[in-house]
Amino acid sequence: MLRNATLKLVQAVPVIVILVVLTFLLMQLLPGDPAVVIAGPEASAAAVDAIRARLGLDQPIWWQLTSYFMHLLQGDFGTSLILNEPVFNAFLLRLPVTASLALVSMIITVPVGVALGTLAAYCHNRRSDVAIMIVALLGVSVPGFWIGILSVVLFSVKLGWLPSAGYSPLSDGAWAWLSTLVQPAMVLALFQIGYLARVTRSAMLDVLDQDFVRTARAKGMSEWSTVGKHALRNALIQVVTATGVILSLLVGGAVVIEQMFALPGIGRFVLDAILRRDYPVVQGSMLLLGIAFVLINLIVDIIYTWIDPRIRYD
Amino acid sequence: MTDLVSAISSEALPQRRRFVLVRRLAAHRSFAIGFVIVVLLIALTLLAPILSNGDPSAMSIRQRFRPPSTMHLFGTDMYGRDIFTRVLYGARLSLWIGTAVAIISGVLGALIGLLAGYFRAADAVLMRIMDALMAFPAILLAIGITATLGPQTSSVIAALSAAYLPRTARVVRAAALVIREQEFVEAARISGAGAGRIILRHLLPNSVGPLLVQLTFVFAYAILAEAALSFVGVGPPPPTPSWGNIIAEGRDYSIEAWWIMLFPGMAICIAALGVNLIGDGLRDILDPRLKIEG
Repeated sequence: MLRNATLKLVQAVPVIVILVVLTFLLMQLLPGDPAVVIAGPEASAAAVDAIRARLGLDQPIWWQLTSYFMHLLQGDFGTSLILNEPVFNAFLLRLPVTASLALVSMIITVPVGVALGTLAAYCHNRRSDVAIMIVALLGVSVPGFWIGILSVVLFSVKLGWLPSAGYSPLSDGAWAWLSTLVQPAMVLALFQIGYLARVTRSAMLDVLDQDFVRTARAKGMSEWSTVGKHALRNALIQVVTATGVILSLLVGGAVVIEQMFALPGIGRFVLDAILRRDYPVVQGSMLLLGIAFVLINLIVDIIYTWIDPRIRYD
Repeated sequence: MTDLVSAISSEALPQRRRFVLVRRLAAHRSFAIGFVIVVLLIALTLLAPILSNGDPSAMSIRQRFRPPSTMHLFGTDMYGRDIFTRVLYGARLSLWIGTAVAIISGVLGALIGLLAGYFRAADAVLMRIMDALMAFPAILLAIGITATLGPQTSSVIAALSAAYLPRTARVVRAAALVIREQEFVEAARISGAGAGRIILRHLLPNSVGPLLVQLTFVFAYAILAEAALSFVGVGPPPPTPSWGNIIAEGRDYSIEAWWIMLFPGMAICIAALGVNLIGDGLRDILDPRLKIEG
């Protein structure tokens, strides 16, 4: 297991280097003179020059890339043009909000998705399977932001059960924290539940078909432990893979949902930066998120070898 | 000899087997339902000028906030524009973006996947780049690229293609890796077939199934993602009717004039559902072992 972990860690290094280059190249996509675009249409020539000097855009491109790398190695992820604050600090400040949202959403998604998928596979081709699969298919076909609007109309405006927007940190009380998160987390969970149920069902169908399941049943083991223990454990690999994908979908979805529910998290931070052309924030945050996901996938890979010792990487 | 080998392995399917494929697809319930939905949608968008008032931007001060009626099937918005017309023209945009994204990410993904699947050296480099691209959440990457390139339809297409490219490349590579180890490829190689011939005549035709399945899901994701992009304001700019920006405009009136945001949302659901159903059917029939991939 240790050998596998080290191997995966070594493989992650070039990916992170490429991530750095990709986020660097993002700014090169700006049409025309980046300094002019970033400064905005009404900026004076002096302001444009100030931005150009500040971002080092007057330097040759290879030097820009080198200095970008050098700063990153010193832990400098750039400085926001608008907030005048290091991107790394601003990112960390907003991380708890997105992490809370992702956590609550995952807590809703994983048990529901796995249970629905397992049940559907167990009742393969019967009415409950078809019904569950229709629900799951709707889940992956409905735009989250639209369900968000409908949900606010119903639960916040008509029924007045949940706040329609805003965030209350955990330090102000768990109930207030949860009440601001439940609605956006549910909206986000809808797509993930559909996705996870579909993945779990197809993994379980494969497993339920195998000899050891028949053997377990034949020797008189209860259905509950045959399906719940033997089969589900074997389908777990794909569920764990899906969990990695779901986290990524969650953070992507959070960009839209945080904006909608006025949650001051990473998604809203990046979206605001994009709309205000605060490029150091866009670059720095995307890089930080990219690195986070490389590490998450690394952890998922290591969990694999722990769940299923038959897996060996080479 | 070479001809014989390729004739057995990958030459076009005989006529009768092709019909078998069509018949199996037609008999597949979800494929058939999805197919009907998508064909109806395409027909509606093509007939849009006849079915609607023909101008999605036509405003009318007197006709503002009209609820659904026989005159305005889906009601009108705050500028008195007919929502039904806007949703129909929005469908054109969504289907066009979905098609373009599927084609671009399909062609590039196939190219990268085949090269990576055949040449070990290319594999290491190309797949690390794909891993890096995939590390960004797809929607976030798409929003970043679209906002950088400027808010136009072409930027949305480029951005979504880049976001879904790594997933497509992975699927093709995985298929190519399996096929290149098979005996008929070995036989082709021994009988003197070059890399180009093996890739084009053997690896490509045999990875088309998984690729097609993946591309239908990319199509569905692209429809949802385009709507999300338009909703947050980085899609095609407002006068262009797009499902996402109709909903964004209707959001402020979601209680008094619920019809503005309700119908485009339902349109997105139906379109994504139809395409996903087709994808499920294709997956069951073309590649029963394939798992749903994000």
